[in-house]
Amino acid sequence: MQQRLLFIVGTLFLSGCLGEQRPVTSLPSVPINLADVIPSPERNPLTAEGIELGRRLFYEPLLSANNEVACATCHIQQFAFSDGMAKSSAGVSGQPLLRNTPALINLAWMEGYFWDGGGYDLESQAFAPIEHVDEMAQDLNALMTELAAHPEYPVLFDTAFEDGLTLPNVVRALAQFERTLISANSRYDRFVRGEDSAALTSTELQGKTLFQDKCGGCHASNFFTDQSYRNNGLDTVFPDDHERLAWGRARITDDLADLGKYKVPTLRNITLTAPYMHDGRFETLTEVLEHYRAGVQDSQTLDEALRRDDGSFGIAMTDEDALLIRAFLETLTDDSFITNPVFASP
Amino acid sequence: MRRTSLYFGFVLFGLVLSCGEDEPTNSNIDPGPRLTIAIEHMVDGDPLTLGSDLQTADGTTVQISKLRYWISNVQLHHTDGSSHTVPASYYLLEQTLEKTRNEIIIGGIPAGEYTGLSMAVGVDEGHNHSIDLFEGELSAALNMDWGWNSGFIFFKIEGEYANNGSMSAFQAHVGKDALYREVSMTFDAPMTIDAEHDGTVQLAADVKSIFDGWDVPAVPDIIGGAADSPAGTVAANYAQWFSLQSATSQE
Repeated sequence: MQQRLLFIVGTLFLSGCLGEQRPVTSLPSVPINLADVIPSPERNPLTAEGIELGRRLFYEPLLSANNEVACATCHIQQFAFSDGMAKSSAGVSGQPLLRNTPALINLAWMEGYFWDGGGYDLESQAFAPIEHVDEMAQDLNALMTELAAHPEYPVLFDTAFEDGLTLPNVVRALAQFERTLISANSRYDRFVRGEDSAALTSTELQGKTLFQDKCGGCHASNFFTDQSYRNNGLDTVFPDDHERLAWGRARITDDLADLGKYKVPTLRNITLTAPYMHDGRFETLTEVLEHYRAGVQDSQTLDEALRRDDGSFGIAMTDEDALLIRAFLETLTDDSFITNPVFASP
Repeated sequence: MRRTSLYFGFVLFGLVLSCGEDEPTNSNIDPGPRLTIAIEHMVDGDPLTLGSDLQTADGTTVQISKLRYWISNVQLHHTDGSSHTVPASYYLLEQTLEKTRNEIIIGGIPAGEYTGLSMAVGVDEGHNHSIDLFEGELSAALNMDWGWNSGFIFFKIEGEYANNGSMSAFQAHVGKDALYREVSMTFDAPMTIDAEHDGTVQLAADVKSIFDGWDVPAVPDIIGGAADSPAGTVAANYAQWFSLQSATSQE
């Protein structure tokens, strides 16, 4: 609580320095079971104007080469900002992408973006989809020309940033909006915060215990990820075509010990973000649970948590265990996240 | 007030761009004594001509169409062992069909006697990942950064090589922190820079040496930054490709 107050006071002070009063009351609050404050880099503090500009840019097809593709084309609120497809072909070229569109949930607290963590921070990662030929395919100089000629954007940038319309401020505004995409109002959250002791049924509570025992080592904390990169036994070989795409985390670190590893994703809103895995290979949660029970493939970098004492692989689960875990996962769906108008197209 | 500074910014940006197209150097120079670093890309004792044949050490014929690299963190060393570090010193050097930029002019050099120079090929770790910092000439809009792995491409060379009677494309896009390479040189005699004297350091860059140990027909496509890979071989070469020609003062 004290930290939260400090944050607000700090923001007021900063606003004073910038010579303008920012309406701090419109900054989102942080659920207590997640964190005290929304972290952001010193060079890009959250402001109400920055967040609102970021929202507008997130839904802005001008960011693409053909002015038809926005961030929101593939990051759709009703799917917790994923897209329901294994590999999207909604980009400017129409070519299918090589990985599954990740959901955008509680990004402010994540370390490393994209499935392999190649995106360093939210500001930097935004350049990748804007420029990628199969995503928004935008030339950044052309983008700046279009924004400068727009009837509203120059004024909106002047309002949100001391130095107005610049290329860094395009990605900084996007990052500010993305940092507000906070989801922690599921039945699970209301239960753990003590707001509603009846929010979970006894079946779901049994599932919670099983989940914590069998899945919680990796899908840890109230973020439901320990932010590590792991090989969960999807494949046995990791070919180096497509610029080592299948290397996963190793493509970023150049360390063969990271072959086939991907970031442990959050399980929040998991019922909304099918299909699953970095390549969208599993259509249902039932398939995912079956993979962990009986489908795990061995390789040199297979995660230790998926090696059993008897030499077999995967997570021991009875049919009933799987059903109970499945029931618990459904309690992580946050209806307010997918209906909140402040996240919708302005 | 805001609007004025914004438009001024655009005008300034346009000025930089328009000068950049014609001049082999930068036009945004701090006031005060200057250091010029002039780099000549050389092949067998002659300036590099894009599109002309050159023979690598292993006998492969290559033609270069594009050469671009970041020079950063310039330091001038004093006689007493201390150094002047040029702030925000990030420069994109290049020789392409569209543009040649092979000179760095740095203003605001403190008066002194300088015995040597250090700089790096690449971008230091502190500036290599947050692509929105835009310090010095660092920018996301120069096609010298990666999206898949937030970071700058330190060194880019592209062209064609002779492949069984026809020409095939090759490229090396080398980056990542492990391949940031510092280069240092000591002047034959101390160089004076002060209110009456600017300094000029002339470097030759041996373009052929970039191919040493790189079997282009076998590995025509290098992307990345692992030290124990062909990218690492190229980095070992760009760490050594400069040779000091002269370091002189001019009134």
